[in-house]
Amino acid sequence: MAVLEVKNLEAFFFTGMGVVEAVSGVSFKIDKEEALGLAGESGCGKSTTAMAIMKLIPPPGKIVNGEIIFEGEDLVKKSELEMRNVRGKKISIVFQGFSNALNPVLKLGDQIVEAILNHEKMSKDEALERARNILDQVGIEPSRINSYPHEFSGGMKQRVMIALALVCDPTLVIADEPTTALDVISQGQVLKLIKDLQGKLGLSLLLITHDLSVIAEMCDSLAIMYAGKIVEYADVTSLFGSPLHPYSEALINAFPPLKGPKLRLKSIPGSPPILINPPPGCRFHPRCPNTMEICRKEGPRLVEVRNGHYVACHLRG
Amino acid sequence: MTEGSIMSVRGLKKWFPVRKGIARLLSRRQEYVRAVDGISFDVKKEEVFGLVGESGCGKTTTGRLITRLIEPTDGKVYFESQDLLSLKKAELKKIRRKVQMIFQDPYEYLSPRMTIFDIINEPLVVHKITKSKVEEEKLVAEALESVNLDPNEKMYKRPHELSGGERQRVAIARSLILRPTFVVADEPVSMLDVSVRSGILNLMLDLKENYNLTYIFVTHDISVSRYMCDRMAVMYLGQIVEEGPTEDIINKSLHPYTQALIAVVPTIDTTEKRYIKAIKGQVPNPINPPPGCRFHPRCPNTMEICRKEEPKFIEVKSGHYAACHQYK
Repeated sequence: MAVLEVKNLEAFFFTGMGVVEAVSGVSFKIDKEEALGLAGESGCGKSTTAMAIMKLIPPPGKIVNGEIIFEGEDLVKKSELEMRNVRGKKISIVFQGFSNALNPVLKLGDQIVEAILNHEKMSKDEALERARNILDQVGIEPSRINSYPHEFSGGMKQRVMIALALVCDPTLVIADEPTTALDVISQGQVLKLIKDLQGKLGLSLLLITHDLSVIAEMCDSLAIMYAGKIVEYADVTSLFGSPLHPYSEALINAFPPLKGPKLRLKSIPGSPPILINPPPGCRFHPRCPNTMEICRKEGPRLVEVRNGHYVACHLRG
Repeated sequence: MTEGSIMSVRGLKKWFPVRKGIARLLSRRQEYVRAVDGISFDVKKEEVFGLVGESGCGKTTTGRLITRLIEPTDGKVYFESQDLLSLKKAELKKIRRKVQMIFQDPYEYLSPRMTIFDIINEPLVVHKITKSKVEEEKLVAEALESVNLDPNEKMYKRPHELSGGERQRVAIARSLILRPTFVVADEPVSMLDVSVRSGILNLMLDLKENYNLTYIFVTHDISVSRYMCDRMAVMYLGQIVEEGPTEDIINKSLHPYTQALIAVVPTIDTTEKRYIKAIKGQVPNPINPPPGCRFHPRCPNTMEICRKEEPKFIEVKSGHYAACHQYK
């Protein structure tokens, strides 16, 4: 049974300027111990999807349609009180802006203990012991429970965020751009840590990032999002080996390679559409090199082209 | 200055004094963050020279020292045979027409209260280049076109109405309007989406050709550095550990730190065996760098001498330098 199954999720923002269709019919699933990557440019809806799963979309946003089945239960139907038992405990999230997530005036140990005692009953000493263990697991000296956040580097703070996400033994961890603000060496350390812990603790992982190379290293499967929809969905080897959607191809070609021939990078002309009253047809068509008449009129459906490899494209699907 | 070089840096240092609390006032010794600790390099005319390293290695500070946004603690910077650091205010102002900088954060760098016209026009006003509004508009329009923005559309907009990529193009237009010969670009694409980066990088390469520019390109992203740069210097804890032609540094790197930096870059190539490589440890405190070779605590090949003596920066192969005791 899948740990998480998202079906036709729609999440809109009801703003003064109109309704922003941020997530428009997104479906995917994550099995036990699987790592799924959700990739796309800023504004494609990937973070909103993550927030939707945690039911943390800020107003004026809300989930308008769809199901989020987690361990057999639909989270969309759960109340806020019921979600408190899920967040941090069964599904936890590691955010991008790590420096803002830690309270600067509290010692680290106190913040981790607070997270534990929110969900589980135990004495403060027992919680402190668990805090020391989890810091050790993420490669930080356990004695640092007495340090303050400003005493840590960016990479270390991000590891603390991972510790906080793991402290109550969740089944699913959502990581939203966990290494984007870090330089490449800290990034390597944090990614290795997440991968090791995922194996050791049997976690499922939803990794959200615009950086395809990180997904290539970390994930088993990948969904590429554009303007609120999934345009391609497959296991990592198939998708990078033979991308089908023109947007996927363009995104892959936007990365300057470290080895091999040095060819001029291609950029994608134009920019993603505004999602208020999006135009009919395929949302990518204004920027697509292969636009056909039907692309302007009808939005393509996500269809399975090869075993497990899905694409939403009139040309390739 | 070396033949064919437009800029020469010798023994450049920037030590920031550490501010003390009451308790520390009692101790006599002033401590310093040794952000840039004695670096030397030459930049050839019309090349793209990369400064690559982790955050905190001193690359951004180096960029600011070269443009005299901050004053160095020691060392020399020669630009077109002039001693940049000894110039007085009036002469420095003239040099500013030739040496410009592009910054990292297009969201913070452009004043939200100015129109695009004002932003790009400002250097012309400061240097009293133009004599009429008509002339100003003409030059600003040309600058916008050179970065592939439509002046009719963008001229009187404000920064918040532009995307990140468009803002960075405005920043580039502004830095080029005085027709500089030398541009220091500090992480110009790090804050942009991946699909937007290639447009800006290609624009910078085209502008280099069209206007005969020389760039110093500062970045932590070695893949971007490989794409843009002819030669690179790899920095660690305030020092240059390796320098040479880009393809040599990428394919035949000499210094263990460079090798680690290259190994740790994630790639899309899923045919390669996938395991995540990581380098152990953290960058040490720049107030008290380790004795001997600063990289030795994290180096897989540490020898006894590495703990005691700082390695010299020597030419190991033609044009390819490294500071490592492995090479004599």
